[in-house]
Amino acid sequence: MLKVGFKMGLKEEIKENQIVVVVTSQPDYSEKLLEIIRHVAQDYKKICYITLNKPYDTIIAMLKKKDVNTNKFFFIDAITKTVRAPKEINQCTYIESPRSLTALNIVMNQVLETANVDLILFDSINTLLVYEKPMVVTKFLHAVMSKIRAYNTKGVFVGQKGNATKVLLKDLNMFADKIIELDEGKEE
Amino acid sequence: MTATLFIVPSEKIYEMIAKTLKEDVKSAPCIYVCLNKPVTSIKKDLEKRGVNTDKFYFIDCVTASVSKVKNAKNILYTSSPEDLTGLDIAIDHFLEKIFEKKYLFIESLRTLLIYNSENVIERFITRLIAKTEKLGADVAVVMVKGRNFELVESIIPSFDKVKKG
Repeated sequence: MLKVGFKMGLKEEIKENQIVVVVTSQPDYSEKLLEIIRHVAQDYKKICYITLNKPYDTIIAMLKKKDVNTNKFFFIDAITKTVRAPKEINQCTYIESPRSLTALNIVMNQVLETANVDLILFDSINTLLVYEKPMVVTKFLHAVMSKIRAYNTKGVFVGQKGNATKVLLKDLNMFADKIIELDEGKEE
Repeated sequence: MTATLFIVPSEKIYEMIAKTLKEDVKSAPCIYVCLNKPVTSIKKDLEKRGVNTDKFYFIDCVTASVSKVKNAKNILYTSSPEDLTGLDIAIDHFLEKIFEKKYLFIESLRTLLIYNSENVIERFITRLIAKTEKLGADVAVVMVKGRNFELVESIIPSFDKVKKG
């Protein structure tokens, strides 16, 4: 696994590869994720953000606080509906739960066919493992990555380091172009 | 005719594939079975790694499951990595079409095992090796290290060589 930091390497790796998996350490996952978002927001015009663990409202508030241009983002939110009925808005499509992989697949198809996105940000592969068996997750991510390639866009899949992801990453190595471990501390 | 099983760490799979294609296949026609990525990505990646794909025939088991496919010269599509009948037919088509010495390259046994049971794949590989021997082709099958131990043990006798990376 390649170790890179925010200042050196991450941007270049995303630029040079079509499908990148970024793994970070667990304690500061949110912080690092926010940094990844800030970086991709600088380089890409239209980003589809698939969130499986934080509601759309929370992410928007976080991004605004960090002065990230939220107009660049379209959201697929798989978590809000598990706790409450959301208000329909143009910038976000809600699906029932992170377990609704068929619904997620359908919405992704619509986005890829109509929205002309430059990059898909998938947060996170670990959440899929909470809801589904590893083999189902592997097949699903293989399909998503292949779809992103077929539509000639880019994909960044974020996950946390740990035993659950270790086995999954062995398979994702075959489907992704690069697996990166964020190691920003030494360079910032 | 030689059947070789390559067992490699997953992070080195494409490095090893490119090395083998450059060193072993050289300028012989090669039937390459794409199981991990669509043919467009594989072709681009191989060429980036210095592999000349002019004499390649591709069987793409990925693209048709996620988007529409266009007919292209020397490319056949199957519906998914689960579609072993389609893969069998596509392999037969190219094996019979190419008369000179040829090479069949199965990119990822592990991917076949994600989509099919071990028993089914064991039979598929055994039949495939027998078929390629009859039709005058060398065959290479790539398997990632550390997965499906029992299956790997049971198919090893079918291969002439096992190379570990």
